[in-house]
Amino acid sequence: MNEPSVGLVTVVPVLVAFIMPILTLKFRSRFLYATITTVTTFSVAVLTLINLVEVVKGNVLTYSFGGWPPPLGIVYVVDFLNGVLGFLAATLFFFSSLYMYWYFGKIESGYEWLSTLTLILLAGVLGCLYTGDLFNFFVMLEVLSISSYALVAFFRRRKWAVEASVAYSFIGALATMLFFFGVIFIYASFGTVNIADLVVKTHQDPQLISKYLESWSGRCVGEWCYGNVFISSALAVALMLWALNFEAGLFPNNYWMPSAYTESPTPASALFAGIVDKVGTYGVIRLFVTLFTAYGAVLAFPLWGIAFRDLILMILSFLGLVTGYLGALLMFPQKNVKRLLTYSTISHIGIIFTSFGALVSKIPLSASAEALSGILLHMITHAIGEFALFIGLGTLSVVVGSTNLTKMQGLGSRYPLLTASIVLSFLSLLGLMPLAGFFSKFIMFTALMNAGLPIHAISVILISGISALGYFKVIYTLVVSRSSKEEEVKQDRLLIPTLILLVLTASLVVLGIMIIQGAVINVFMSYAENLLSIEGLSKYVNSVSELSKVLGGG
Amino acid sequence: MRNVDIELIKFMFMLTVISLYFNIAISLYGVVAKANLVKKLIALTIFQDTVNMFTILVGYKLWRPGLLLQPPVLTDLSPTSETLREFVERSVDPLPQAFVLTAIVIGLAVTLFLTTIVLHVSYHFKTVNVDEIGRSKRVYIHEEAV
Repeated sequence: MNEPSVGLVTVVPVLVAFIMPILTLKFRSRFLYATITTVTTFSVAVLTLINLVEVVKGNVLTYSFGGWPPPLGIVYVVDFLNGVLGFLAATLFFFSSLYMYWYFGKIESGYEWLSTLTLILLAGVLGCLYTGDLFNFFVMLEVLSISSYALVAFFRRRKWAVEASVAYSFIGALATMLFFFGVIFIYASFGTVNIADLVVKTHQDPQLISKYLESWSGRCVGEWCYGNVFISSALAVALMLWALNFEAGLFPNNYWMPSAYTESPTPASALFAGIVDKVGTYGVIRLFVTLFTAYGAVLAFPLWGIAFRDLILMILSFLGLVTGYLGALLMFPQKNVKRLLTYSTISHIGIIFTSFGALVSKIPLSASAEALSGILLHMITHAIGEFALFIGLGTLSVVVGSTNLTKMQGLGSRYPLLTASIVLSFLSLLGLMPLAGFFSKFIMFTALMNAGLPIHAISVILISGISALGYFKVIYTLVVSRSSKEEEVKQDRLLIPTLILLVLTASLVVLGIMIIQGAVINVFMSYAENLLSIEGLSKYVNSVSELSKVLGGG
Repeated sequence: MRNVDIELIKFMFMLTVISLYFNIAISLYGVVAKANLVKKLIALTIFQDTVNMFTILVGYKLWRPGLLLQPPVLTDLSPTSETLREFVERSVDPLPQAFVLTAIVIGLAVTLFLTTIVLHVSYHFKTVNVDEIGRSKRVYIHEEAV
């Protein structure tokens, strides 16, 4: 049914972001802009929480813009996958805007533009996550990318920030345009861009029939829609995957990440590492878990003896391995803290993509569900951990006036609580037992083992082991080593960053303890199994079909 | 005579599709291989326009003998189902045009941003050649790591 809480999540931040530049004519106070951003992100977080509560009950929420019946208009669909990620995104944006109260005191100007761009980025991220329409996904991907380009170039007086933005934006614009090209191929062959309608048409399954959707967009007869669906789907997937992998930062497409994450302002780089790279990963999951699944015949044609869909997933998994090793190996020599954290992000994206190998068709549903729940859980734990680290170490680098690691020696004794949270976040990313990061990696490991991919499974541990070197380098610098000269620095108590970090690490610990008690994993497993099964797909389709029935007049 | 017309239209259609693909190949080469940022920007706009043209082509409808060549406008204020059917017969698919309108607006925003950022690059580096910028960046990264 039409749930306003689903539709409002993108409308509210965009409206506020458009009003904010008008306010700059009159008001200059940085507290005003931080407060507006915080209130907006908080209300969006509440909306996503309402959606999450409904989704956990087992419902699929829908919202149709302008009251058009689904295949005609834009529709937002929230199931467990994007409900969880949407709440995670809105929460991280809320913490980021809280951090702005402290951060705005440290930059000379541009509060209003940082707030505006952050709100537009929020709308882009949530639009990408919630949308049930491929063309709207492209539009929201552009909203997300343009605000990211501008955030990377925020310090436009620094020449390396401008250079990082150029390196990101030129190929980024190319990649999103290719995504549009892929959507056009889908439209040309299926006659629709609605995801639920496409699910009906790619599967040709008696369980997935909706007479309300096909009364608007027609019906594919046999294997044919409006042309050769096999070739056009394969082409579309190839084109769309490049854009999604570019946003996620998979191996050949992650050359832009280190510079862009290093040069952008700290709240923005924390958001990039926390949630923006997950949007690309979510898109790939949506493509292969909902659109072109193992039940459909569209991408099942063999290429070199393997079904095309499985071949893509295997290649993605292999590229994930390369990305993971690359990130872990390149992390250790870095002297710049933010660059080091970016390589840590890259290695974790690699681990997530490695687990896609367990989603291929011939692997039993239980192992695939385990892998999917591991992927989802790792997206959550990595997002929280990496976000906390970027905020914490970014704060320390503002305090010492440099992102160089050697300048941060002995800061641990000066800010004990902040450093303790940073160390805990590092240990969670590394995968230490009582923290949540251990369990997500453990689930992915067992899933890959059950799926018969021992090399991938062991690589997950090896990548974590190699990245431990880089993590302990930072921990050692902060905690053990003493700075050579004890100069008197003006004491800043860092109240707001410390509080944010304490809340985030506490959530990691609590999540870990909840997993030990066994509650969370069972929930994730059952929902992942539901997402992968044909019943879950038919639930997705039926909710949109129901909306079409009501809005289309019966 | 009519069959010859159909053959000619099919030939022209294929020619258009092939030249669009050719255009895409050239513009991709331009974005990836050219060192000058302004040339990259021009190639990118060519790429965007080509994709938009391709999208318009998706909504194309083959002309058939016996079809009156009239502009696809509904002149009747209170149409009957008969006039509507006739209208649908001769009109093209409007949805790709809506896609293209959206894509053009987005492309405008991207192009404006890229133009501004190229301007800033030329302020900072006194050049828009990515090879020279890349060389100085390697020096910078090396200094940062050592």
